[in-house]
Formats: sequence, C-alpha cells, structure tokens
Amino acid sequence: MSIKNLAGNVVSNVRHTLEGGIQGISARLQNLLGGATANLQTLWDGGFVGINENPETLVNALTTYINELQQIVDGFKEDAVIEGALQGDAKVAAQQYVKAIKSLLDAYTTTYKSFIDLLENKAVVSMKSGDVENAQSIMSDAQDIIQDANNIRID
Amino acid sequence: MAQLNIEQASVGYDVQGIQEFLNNLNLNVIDALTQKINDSMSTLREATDEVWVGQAADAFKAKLERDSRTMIETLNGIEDDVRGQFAQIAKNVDNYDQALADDISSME
Repeated sequence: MSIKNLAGNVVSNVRHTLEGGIQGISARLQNLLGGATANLQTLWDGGFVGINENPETLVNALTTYINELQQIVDGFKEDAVIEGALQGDAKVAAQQYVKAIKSLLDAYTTTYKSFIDLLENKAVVSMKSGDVENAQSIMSDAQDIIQDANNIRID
Repeated sequence: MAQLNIEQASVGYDVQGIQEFLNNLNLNVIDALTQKINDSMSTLREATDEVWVGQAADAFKAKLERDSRTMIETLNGIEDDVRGQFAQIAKNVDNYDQALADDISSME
C-alpha cells in the first residue's frame, strides 16, 4: 500500500471519528440545553401585588444586568480564535458550542425582557391606582402572551 | 524546516490553538457570565426590595435565584462537555497519526 493511500485512510478514519464526535456533541448539547431553556423561558405569572407604582429601580437594575450579560457574549470574538486553531469538523464543533452558549443566554434574557415589558406597560400602576378594569385587560393580554410563549418549542 | 500551519488542511487541529480557544471560552465567556450572575443577585434582590414587598416579591426573588442556578449549572455542563470532546478528538487523531507513522516505519 502506498504512503498516499495510507495517509488517505488516516484522513478518512479521522473524519469518521470527528463526525461521530460531532453527532455526539449535538445530542449531548441538546440534552443539556433542553431542560434548562424550557425552565428559563417560563415567563413570570406570579402577579405584582405589593409593588410600587413606579418600579423604576427594579426595571433599571434588570436592564443593566441583561445588557452586561449580553456584552460578555458579544465581546467574545471566537471566529478569529477558531480560524487559526481548527479546521473541518473540529471547527464546526467549536462553533456549535459557542452557539449553544448564545442560545442559553437568549433564553435567559428573553424572560426578563418580557418581565420588564410588563412593568413598563403600567399594568402594575393601573392595579395600584384602583383602575381595576384596565389593569385586568392588560394582565389578560399579558397572560395570553405568556401562554403563547410557553407553548413555543425550543429547537 | 518550514513553519507548519493548518490553514491548508481539510481536517486537523492545532494543539496550542485548541488550548487557547478553550481558555478564551472559559475565561472570557463562561467564567465571566458565571461571575456576573453571582455578583448581580444581591443587587437584583435589593432592587426588588426597594419597590416590592409581600409574597409576590418573594416569589420573584426565588425565581431569580432558581434561574441563576440553572444558568450556572448549564454553563459548567457545557464547559465540561467541550473539554471532554476536544480531548477525545485529540486522542483519536493522535492514535491514527501514530498508526500511520508505525505503518510507514514498517515499510522502510
């Protein structure tokens, strides 16, 4: 057998191993992320009894927190690092991991962005001021949104 | 000997490059996210206490804690998985590389 053929066999075997590894990675990541993202995307439905009319402090704190988390992920320039270190299927594997982390963060921040939207829609203010009918209408709409969101499958 | 690089390779990895990628992923993303989540919980609880009292407020703070634990546990799981997978890939490539070298030696 020529050295060229031997080298070809090595490449073929390595690719088969890497492909098997990639498939395993995807399945394991799916298992790891599936339960986590489902829990993280459960939107707030505990009501707002006892909250101030102007919960600006909480809105600002949550907004800052979400933005800071996003900045960490956005600041990771993985393409440059991967390009110089990995080729073929190994590169795909690395990119999958980064995508998994970003998906996880999206699931986490989506929940709290929606919560901020509820606060900023003044549903809480209406309830506090006694405008019961308006508050009930807003909360009903919010509950519909929550139900629809919770029914969405996360791929 | 000419400087070797993998840019022209269709399959391969650079040991030092992989280590750099894993270190960057760990330090700049996973560790940073975990640290930020842990450091922010007290701030978010205090912000909640400033504007909200009662059972609903307590339930919200409990959700904050639960979600933060889920995030940290999942991030740690991802890190363990990626390190394990690249270690296995490297091991398999090394094994086949050694097999090729042995075959070549036997032909000489």
